[in-house]
Amino acid sequence: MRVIQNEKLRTVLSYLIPFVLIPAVVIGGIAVFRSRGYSYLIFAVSALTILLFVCGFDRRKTGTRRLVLVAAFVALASAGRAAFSFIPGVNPVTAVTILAAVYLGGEAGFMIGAFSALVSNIFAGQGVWTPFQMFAWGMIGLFAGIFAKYFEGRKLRLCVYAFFCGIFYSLIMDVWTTLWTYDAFNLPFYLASITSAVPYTAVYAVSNAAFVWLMAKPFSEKLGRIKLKYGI
Amino acid sequence: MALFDIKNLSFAYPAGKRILRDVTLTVEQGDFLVLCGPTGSGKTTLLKLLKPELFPLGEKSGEVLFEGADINALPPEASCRIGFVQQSPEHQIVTDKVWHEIAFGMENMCFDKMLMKRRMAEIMSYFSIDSQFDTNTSDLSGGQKQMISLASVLVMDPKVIILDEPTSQLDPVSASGFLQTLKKLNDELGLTIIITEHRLENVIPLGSKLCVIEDGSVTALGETKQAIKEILSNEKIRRSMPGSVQIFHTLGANGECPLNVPQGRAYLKNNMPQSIRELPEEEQQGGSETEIKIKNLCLRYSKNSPDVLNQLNLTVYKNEILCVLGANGSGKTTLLNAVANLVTPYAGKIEIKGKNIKKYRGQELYNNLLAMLPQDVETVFLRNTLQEEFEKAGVDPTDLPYDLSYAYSTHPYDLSGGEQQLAALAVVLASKPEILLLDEPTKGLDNGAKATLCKALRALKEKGKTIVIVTHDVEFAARCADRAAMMFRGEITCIETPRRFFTDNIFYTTSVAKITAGLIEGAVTPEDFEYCAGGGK
Amino acid sequence: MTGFGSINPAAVFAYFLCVTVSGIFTLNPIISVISLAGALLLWAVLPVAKNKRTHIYPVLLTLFCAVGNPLFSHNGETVLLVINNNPITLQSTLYGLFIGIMLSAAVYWFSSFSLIVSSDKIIYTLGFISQKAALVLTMALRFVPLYIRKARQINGTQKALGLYKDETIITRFRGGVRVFSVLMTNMIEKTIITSDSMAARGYSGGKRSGYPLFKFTFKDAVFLAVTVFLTLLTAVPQAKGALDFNFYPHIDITFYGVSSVAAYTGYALLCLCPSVYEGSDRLKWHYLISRI
Repeated sequence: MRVIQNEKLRTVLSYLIPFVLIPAVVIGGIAVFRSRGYSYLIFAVSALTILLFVCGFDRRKTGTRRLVLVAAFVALASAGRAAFSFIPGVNPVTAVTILAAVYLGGEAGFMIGAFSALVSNIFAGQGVWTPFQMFAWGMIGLFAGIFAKYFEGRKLRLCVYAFFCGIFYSLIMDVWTTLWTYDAFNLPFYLASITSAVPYTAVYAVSNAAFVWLMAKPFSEKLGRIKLKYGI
Repeated sequence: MALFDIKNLSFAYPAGKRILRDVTLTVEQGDFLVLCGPTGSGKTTLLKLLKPELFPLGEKSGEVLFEGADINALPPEASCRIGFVQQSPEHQIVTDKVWHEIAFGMENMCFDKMLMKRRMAEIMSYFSIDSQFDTNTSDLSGGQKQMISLASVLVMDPKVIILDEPTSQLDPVSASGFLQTLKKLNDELGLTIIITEHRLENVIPLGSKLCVIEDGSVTALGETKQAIKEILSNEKIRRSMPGSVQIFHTLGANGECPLNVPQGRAYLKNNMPQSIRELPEEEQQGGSETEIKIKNLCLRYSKNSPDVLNQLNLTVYKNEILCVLGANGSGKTTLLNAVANLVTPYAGKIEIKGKNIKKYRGQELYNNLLAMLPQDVETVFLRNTLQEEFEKAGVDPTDLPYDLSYAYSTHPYDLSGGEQQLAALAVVLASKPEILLLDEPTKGLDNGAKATLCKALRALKEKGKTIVIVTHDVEFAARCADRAAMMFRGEITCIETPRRFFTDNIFYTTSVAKITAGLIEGAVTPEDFEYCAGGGK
Repeated sequence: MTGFGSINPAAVFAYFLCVTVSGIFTLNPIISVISLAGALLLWAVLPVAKNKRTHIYPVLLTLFCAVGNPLFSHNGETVLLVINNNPITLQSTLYGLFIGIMLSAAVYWFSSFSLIVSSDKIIYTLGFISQKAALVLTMALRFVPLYIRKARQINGTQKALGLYKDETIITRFRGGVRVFSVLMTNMIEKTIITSDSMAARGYSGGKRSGYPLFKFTFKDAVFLAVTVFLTLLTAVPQAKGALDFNFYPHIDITFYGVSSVAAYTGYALLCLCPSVYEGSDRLKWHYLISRI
């Protein structure tokens, strides 16, 4: 449903939103919530980044086949997250996001990462963390897409990237927890949360790399095949 | 003005293979056109060339006119006017809710909001699916899914609906329901229908026109009864026709061709052959040694759900082909899964070669003893070419009763349904099983592929394998089985040799058996009938 | 459907956004307590089946924060006891407690949100921002159960092919990846059918609209207006510092007269809105049904 029917007005708004509205929301919000300015800031920035990407995705024309692939990878990652829940700390979301982003590009990568968080949380439970998870996985996909040319066909590099994404994901999530709790960076608390999460982070990082290692080849073969066969 | 005017249409894929040759065909408003021909004859390609959004990549010559205008020049809004329904119930559904699936096309065309609501109300009432408005599409059965796909196309008010084997993945009951709906649309609304099918038994009597395509060329075209007469001499095509047509051919093909069971019976009564009136029951073909023994098996999927298998008893003898028939939800697939130890019954026991299935440790059961071919054979394939697949699985091609070497470099997903079935069979045979379990092996196969599969299974039986097949396909069971069993509400209700089984069944039987019932005892396949009519030759 | 669940999803989204954002990003314990009370009340009055286990997490969270915070933060002037030369202060404990209450309130708001906002409603609301993103979401939701079922089939097939050797965690992981790989192949192939089906029904990647599954009625407009008004009633004084609150070095609340009263009442009413709506609708329903 289009709320705004006028095409011109929509175009104006589409530029106005990122350049005027977003800073306004951020600055205005900090003024209101000054006692928890940092928490608000990270929340607003991640939520608005997602909004921005969604709007950008909406504006560009995406071929039908690419669109279906994006939806399918979101579903695959979400189904995989449910299926691998038997091993704590292991889920294929990062791996699927990275591999798909390398072949479909940064924007699609962001969408796949962010929407995988949203969809899998419909089954796993939504919460305050949803926008932040969307942001973190989206960024992992975005960067994989941006640096695709360094990754394509390079299994080892992909594994290293996936490994560090696992660590990055944990570190960022803990920064968030810390800021959330204290609205300031409390180093002892941060170190304590990192230390307590070490086993989890380790399993996550290693399993990410393992997923990518085992899936990179089939993935490129299969996508390459349909790219060739149907021209995507 | 004709709806579709196809003139000298030829088409070749980039790989160079010419798939259509000089096809000329006219479809009038209100026609119900049945397109038939063996797999790979170019039916699907022809259909896609009638729908601009689905044009395949390749080299095209000749022209297609839609309502007098060149189809290449149709405006985008015209996609409403040509509806297209594909084969796969699972994958052509786009959204998660029934209402959204039906609204999908209208959303794409940016229909007015009031119009959307109106059409939604109309179509849901016409199909009486209003109770499914909020249902998740994934909770629907295959037949319901196809019905939703049809409704979602129809809601855009098309002039013509093109259907590419819409019932090949459905069970016979849903399939005939779907075809009856098409007939109703054709009769009540004058909607033009163009349909391809493998299973012609039900669709031929409904169609007003028949077009036969072989190797990319039209070999017969016209009003159904006329067109059938043209192809009677072509055995390959004739074999895929309804039982009544085959009886008509056997009896000399004089007069008007009968298309359904009552017409077939009337024709047979007027032209009774003065020869054998009764076929003896076959002798028990399998061995007498017990291979699988199932005693009082009970199974349910969760504590409060009903029993799927209910006190089931069954004995399978060594070296026989047993076909288990039954409707959807009778527990056929569950029975197979229980024998393959993929699901666990809560009571009763299964003995394989005299040893309780629970006593088989680890992989013992699957090594050189038992193998199962799932309904969806694509789940067997892991590699990129058939060759890799065979090498990885350790398939010995010389050991197979059929040859697939021509397709070694092909991707498993590019094989036809019949080839996939044979390839998957080869993969599971690599572990040298003595017992083979097959789940709906004929789903989506054309007649030729079914015959090949039947031959392959008979050859495997000759090599000493025991084969249990679960199927809906009565014609296949009548040809292939040594014994046929009927399953209902989780138990086996009867088990007999196929001739006895299909003669004594009144409703659940082959079309030849229905036509010959009470006239020629024991003729259940066209071959049986030929044998009788030919005086035992 | 009656009650809060029958309000237009866009208005419901706006409500949850307002109530959680203004509740989460303030340290004011009075606001936190009001938020928790409002959230619990709504959670309790919603006429849907609820899981009692929802309570476990917020209770643990509050305890964890109340006990954990003084271990990391030693601010505050009232020392309760000393552990390893580190003072445990009253202010720090209370800070932890109220952070816990604030987070618990968020948990209950989100729980109520999940109870009444179905996937249809998420898709509908997302459609206001982007129809294409909404389409991706509905498609993904259609694919998830399909893939889960397929994965089960593949697992069975692979098992019957004798591909599983033993049951260690590594082989299970490898088995899982193999199933995943087959699933991926299958899925990538089949997306072609789905995209053909979309193209055949006029999808071109361009502009599209949405089916009007939900109406935007007068009562929705009123609800939205009330929400916005009460949020502003809280936020404007808040921006002026009317809700400022300090825990350290000692607990210190500033009261600004009218603007503070406005902010507290505004937020309290905002929190009560859905429960009141739910309750009044139910009364009306009882009255109507008594006439049948």
